[in-house]
Formats: sequence, C-alpha cells, structure tokens
Amino acid sequence: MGRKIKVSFPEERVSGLAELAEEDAPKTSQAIWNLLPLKANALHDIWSGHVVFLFLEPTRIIEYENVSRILDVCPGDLYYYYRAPHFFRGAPYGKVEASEIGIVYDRDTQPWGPRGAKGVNIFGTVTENLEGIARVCERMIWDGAKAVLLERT
Amino acid sequence: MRKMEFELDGAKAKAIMLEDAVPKTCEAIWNKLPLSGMSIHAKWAAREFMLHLSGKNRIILKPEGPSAEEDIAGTLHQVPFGMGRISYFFREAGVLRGVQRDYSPEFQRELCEFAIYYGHGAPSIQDPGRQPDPTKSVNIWFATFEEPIPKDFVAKADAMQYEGMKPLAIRRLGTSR
Repeated sequence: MGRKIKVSFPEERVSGLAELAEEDAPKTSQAIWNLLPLKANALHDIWSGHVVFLFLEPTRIIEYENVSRILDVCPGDLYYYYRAPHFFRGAPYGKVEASEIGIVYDRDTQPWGPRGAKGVNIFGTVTENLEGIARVCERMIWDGAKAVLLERT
Repeated sequence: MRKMEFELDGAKAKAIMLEDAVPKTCEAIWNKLPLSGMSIHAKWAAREFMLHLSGKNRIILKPEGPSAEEDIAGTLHQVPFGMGRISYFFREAGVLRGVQRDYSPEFQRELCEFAIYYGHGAPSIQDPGRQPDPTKSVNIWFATFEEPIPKDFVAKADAMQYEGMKPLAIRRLGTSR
C-alpha cells in the first residue's frame, strides 16, 4: 500500500484520501510527496472533460512515467503534467511554461490540450470520498476556481 | 444582413447571422430574440462558453446547412465551428453516458444550447459532447462574430474559468444590406 495524501477543498469543507502509485510512478510520487503541503487555486479544465487542475509554483519538472497510459485516465486519478516553454501558442493562464496536477473526478475525461493528447504521469488515485470531491469539482463549472489543499497523512 | 449583439457581463460583441447558409435557423433564432441567461464555460471544447436554452428559451430546430449534409454523410468530424463562430446545438439523451451532473437538471441528459467559440484554440475535436450522431444531434453554425472580437469580451469569457458563470444577453442589433 502506498503512502496517502489528503485532498481537501477547505472552503467547501470536503476532503478525501488518495493513495500514491509508488510502484507505477515512483519518481513522480516521491517528487510530489516532497512538495507537500500544496495549497493553490484549482481551475476546471476546458479541454479534457471532468478534471480540475492546479499549477505548481514555481514550475517543477519531473521526467515522464506511465506515458503508455496516455488518454487512459479513470475517475479518481491524480496526474502530473509538464508543459515546456512555448509548447502552446501564447501564454495560457499567463504562463509560458507550466507544471500542473490534475484531479480526474468523472468519466469521459482525456488529458488534452491545444496540441492534442497530453502526456501525463499518473501518480495516485483517490480512494476515499471521490464522490464528495466530484460534487465540488462539478460546481467549479458554475462557481469558478476553488482553493485546494494537498497534504501528507 | 441581420446582426446580433452579445453582451457578456457588460462586454459587448457583434455577430452577423448566416442567413444565406441557414435561413430557417436564422429566422427562428431571430424571432426568439432577445435571449438571456447565465452562461458557463466549456469543459471539453476549449475556449468556448455556452448558453443553455432552458425553459422559455428552448429552441428546437431541424438540421440545416452544410453541417446537416455532413451529418447525413457521417463525416461530421469536420466540426462546423471554430473561433468566432456561434452554433446552435441539440443532442438527445443517451449520446453521452450517464448524466452531466454539472449541468442543470433539465440538461443532465439531453442538451439544447448556443455554443460560442470566442478564442483561438477552440474547438477541440476531442469533444465527446458533440461527437457526430446525425440521428441524435443537431449542430448548426448560424452566426459569426465581427472581427476582431473585442478584447474585453474575450477577457470576460476567459475569466469564467476563474470566476464562474456570467450573465449573457443576446439581442437584435438591426438589419442592413
């Protein structure tokens, strides 16, 4: 069993637990673990479907793991994605280069961007209260960004 | 030439109806104006926002124009929309699995909306909500924004990703030849 992290939306008083995929993605799991706790505003994705994401500030570069799982994400998956400088036109979200964590909360989701499928490292899965997290994420379509906190347990 | 004004949270943009291409659609929508409601940002199609046509705003249209022919040919991966384009879209229940819980109860299974593509990068061809199904969906490109789309209008649309839904009003602007 991998180490667990707590995923919270403090303003909504909703939280869940996620288990790190330390066997499948050991480098990413460790790198993310080392960054915790992380607090940021999560945004709803506009390309990929049912996923919200938060930027890592400053940008963190973690090498690819699990690239074979491209487009194969499931509800509850947590992933890391790195966007190289000028990979997309302009500076989406004001960032020429970016790294992010995605939280997949429902089906019909494929990590996607202006240049097609995104290569993401799946490093964990929500194992407790995905339902509650999903309800918060759905509301972001209507409410906009929400604060999210990732921390060690 | 019929023109419409889109006002998103105070920012305005003008659009020209494509009466030559889809006259019946334009007539039906023109007769329904003004329309207003809260618009929400897309989750699959990139820089697009939507006005769901709920309640008294609901419009049911038959396929018309080039997209309808492509529908029939089953080749609608050449999606008839892009930056600056405004489409009417309807899909029956069952095109997407399950329910869209992030939409209002009326549209958790079927959907009736205007799809408004405001920025470069739109649309994503990987939009499962609008995959081609000529028997269960209608997709009609019926208007185009005048170029350039005002920056404050684009900024308001982008801001929906951070701030959430915003009020949208669509009204007649007049006709000219």
